[in-house]
Amino acid sequence: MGRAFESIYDMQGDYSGNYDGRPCDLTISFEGGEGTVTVQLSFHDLERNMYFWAPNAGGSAVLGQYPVDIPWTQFHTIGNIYFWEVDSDGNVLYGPNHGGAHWDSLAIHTWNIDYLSGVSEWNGQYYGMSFTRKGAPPLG
Amino acid sequence: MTQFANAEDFVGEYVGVYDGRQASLTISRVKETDTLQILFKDVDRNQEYEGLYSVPLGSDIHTLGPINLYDTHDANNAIYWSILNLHTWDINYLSGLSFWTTQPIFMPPTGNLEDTGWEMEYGWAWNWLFGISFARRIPATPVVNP
Repeated sequence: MGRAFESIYDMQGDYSGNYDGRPCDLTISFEGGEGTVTVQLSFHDLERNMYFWAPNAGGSAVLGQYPVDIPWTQFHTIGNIYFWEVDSDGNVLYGPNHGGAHWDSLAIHTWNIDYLSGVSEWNGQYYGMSFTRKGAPPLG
Repeated sequence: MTQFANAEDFVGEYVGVYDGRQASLTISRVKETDTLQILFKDVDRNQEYEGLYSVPLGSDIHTLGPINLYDTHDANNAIYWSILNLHTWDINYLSGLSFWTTQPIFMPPTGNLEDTGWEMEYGWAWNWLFGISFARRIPATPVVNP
């Protein structure tokens, strides 16, 4: 069983999950650390074989860049995440046949950081998602 | 897998994780009504909550909320789920978010929190969202048309 939540960095890792009923993979990583940090998400819809990348998952005044100091690190939820559609190598796909995705909220479970739950938004409707960590959680 | 058809698909028994704690959920239809009875058990804390939610069961609504659930042993103790989504491509999955705030919510008639002035008096509240994930205990089987 995974340990309890300590900081937002606990979100780092590889996950497998279910995205509105479709199997999927998710990777969360953090870049930086001096004053601000950027949260990056890579998402693979396995059933549709579509890839998405959120280079700076945030949506606040400064996209994706949060102060590292307390209290932000206490939060266990990120939100308003905008994804680009990318190819399997991570190159952004442009054009009318390609789109993005918008996640309203993503929460790591505070009693066991092996779990994530969230809500995506499309066309004015909300859709569910849930994930389970693959491998060991980050060191506390 | 079974795709979503209508809101009656919420009915079922589920096991899952509630903010990292083991949990179970039973959703049943109150006889001949458009009301769902929701019974939620926080297994790790040995707490049980129940509530009712009205939704047209023949509709294509796959999102419920907000849902108030009351402690079956203490009606003054309640939890609040802001959203609960049935996954539309496979109704064996449910997920959502629970809401908790450090301050009581004093929503004025205008709907604008600034009209209350409460943030000046009490300081900003911390609002927290907690994850909810469930899977159906006995997977639904696709309906095969003759």
